Amino acid sequence: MSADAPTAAQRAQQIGELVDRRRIALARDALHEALMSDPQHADLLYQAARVDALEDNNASARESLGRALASEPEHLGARMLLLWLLTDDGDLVQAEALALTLLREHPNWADLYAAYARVMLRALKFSKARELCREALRLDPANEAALHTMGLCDIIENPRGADSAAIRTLIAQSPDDRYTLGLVVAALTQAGKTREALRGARELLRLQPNDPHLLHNVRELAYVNHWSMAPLRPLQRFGWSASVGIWIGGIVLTRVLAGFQPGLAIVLGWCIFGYALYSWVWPPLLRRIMLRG
Amino acid sequence: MDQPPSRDTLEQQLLVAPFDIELRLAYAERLLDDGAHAQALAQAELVDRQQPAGSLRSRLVLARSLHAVGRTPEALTAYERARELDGFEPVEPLESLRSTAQPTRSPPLRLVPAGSTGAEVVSIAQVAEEKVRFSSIVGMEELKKTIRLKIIEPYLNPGLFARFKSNAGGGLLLYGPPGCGKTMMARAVANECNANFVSIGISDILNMWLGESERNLAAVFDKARAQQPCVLFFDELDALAYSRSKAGSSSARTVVNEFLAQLDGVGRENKGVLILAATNMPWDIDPAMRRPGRFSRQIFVPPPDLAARAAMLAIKLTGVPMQGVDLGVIARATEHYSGADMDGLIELAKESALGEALSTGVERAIGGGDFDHALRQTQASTLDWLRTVRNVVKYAGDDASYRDVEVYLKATKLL
Repeated sequence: MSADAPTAAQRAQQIGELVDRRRIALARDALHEALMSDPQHADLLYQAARVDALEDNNASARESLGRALASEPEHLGARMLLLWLLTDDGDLVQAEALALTLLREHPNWADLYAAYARVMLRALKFSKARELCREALRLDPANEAALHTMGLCDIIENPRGADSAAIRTLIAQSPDDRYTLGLVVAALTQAGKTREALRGARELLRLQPNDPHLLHNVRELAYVNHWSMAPLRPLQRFGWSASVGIWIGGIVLTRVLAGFQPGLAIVLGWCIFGYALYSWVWPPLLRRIMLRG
Repeated sequence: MDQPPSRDTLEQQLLVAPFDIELRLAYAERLLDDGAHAQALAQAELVDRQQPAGSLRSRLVLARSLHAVGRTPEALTAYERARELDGFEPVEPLESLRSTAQPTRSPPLRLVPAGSTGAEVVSIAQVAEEKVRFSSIVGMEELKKTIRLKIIEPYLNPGLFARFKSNAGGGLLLYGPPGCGKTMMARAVANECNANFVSIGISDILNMWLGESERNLAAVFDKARAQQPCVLFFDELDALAYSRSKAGSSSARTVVNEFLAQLDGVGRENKGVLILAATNMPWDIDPAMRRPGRFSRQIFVPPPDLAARAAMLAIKLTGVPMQGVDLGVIARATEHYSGADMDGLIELAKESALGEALSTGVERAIGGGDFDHALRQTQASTLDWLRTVRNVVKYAGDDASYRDVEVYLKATKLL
């Protein structure tokens, strides 16, 4: 090896730059070459796991991480990525155990509390997730991972899309971040502001047109906002309570009208019946048409 | 007198109406007044992206924010854009800065002592050896005409375009599916402009040492300025100018910042450098790259059209024994095929004929059946890309950036 040849750690750093920029094919080539000469190098194996994780190949990523941790058990990046993957795969007991081990070693690391909060969010333990987020934010008030998790807790726990301090902080801190935009879209959808949510979802799709989940979300919101769905807005907005209200109101009004305007009562009765039929038949049909693409 | 709304109130309002431009501008102004300069800039940049035409107020807020964070050259560019609009009134710190501003200079090239570590001499792809010109590129007549009008003529005849007050500045971004000749087109542009051609890829810039990537980038621009007239071509721009809002690492962000500074520097101090770039993933490019004076002009390089495919087949099959092959039929059957796909198809047809010759011992020419076999085994590699962009065109609302693609998708009935 020449004196100027990069070390495995330097190569791993360079590959990390490629992974950061989603140059997956280039990173794979470079990794293949680098791992030929250093097959057990923890940094290289960690980068290999990152590449696999980005391509949603969690099993392979975990295998690479296992090898990385076998050669360097304390590798922090590898353990953090493993925590992320365990949470993603729903292995929450293992994830929590790993998070606690890491917390014992690094009790002042905000990212770690945020990652643990994510585990708790996944386990639907919202109050604990919030506490962990608060701790992360105490250590680092601008920690975006904690703010994201806190924002998600707010959205899930407040079905009417109540004001979220975490999302507001994210709007101030990184308004063009796609995770922020994703949270805003979710909050707007929850609050029934589907028109604004559709705008946000479109913006997100422009940033990542190859994401099938985003595409599905845009199609769903486009369906909800279709002009022919306008008469059904009250039902969309207030759900069953609107439905019950319309039926009771309709029946009472028809009964009252029947006493002195029988003709009008019949027309009203037919209108309510037509509206009900429309609300049952049309939305699934339209949805099918619009989601077909 | 009414109290201006507090930051908290504005944030609450923004959560409910995130696309209210005036509200966001008010918020950015409030942040500026409160000394939260970086946050104000983030808001101003977002407004700039949401409303590319920009109002006087948005341009001024952007200029003030850039100035506040110390990005003076960009602040001056934004301020100049504000000055173009009706109702402009001078804003003092920027006005006096403007009158005293000097063109920025990029960092000079450094001498790296032999055997030193921590720095590497940047290797830059050399000037084109073969003279690819537009006449060497088959078909794509519409595209060539557009590039000639938008790029080559303004470059060769700046006076004519200046008389018509036509805006000829800034770089050109070629985008489209992979394998469709973007790099070749850039090379041809350089030769049509009678300019040197410097081609840069990601491996020429990215370096494992902290700060070296930025220095490599500056060195590339310096080299281009020294070689003018010069066409500086960035292949896979999305890798070098990866969107900062998506980038995970701070180094990716600093490279983009340096790139922006260099592009703005070239605009002011060197008219002899034409900057071209190519990408397969335009959505991954940092939005700031597309502002006026940078890569504001984007041209879609589609898969080869029918005439181009027919010409490719004729050229690549010259001298190859063939019998009963109608090249026109094959060209029609290969809609959306890229140049690379066409090569693959021809190779498969050849393999089919050769395989049979080897198994039977009887040599024969390539026939229509060999191409039918090859066509069954291949499909256009561009379709994935075209479907991805179709998502943007069809579902992501009105985005002028992809208008050319929309026309193409409609013409080919993919939309």
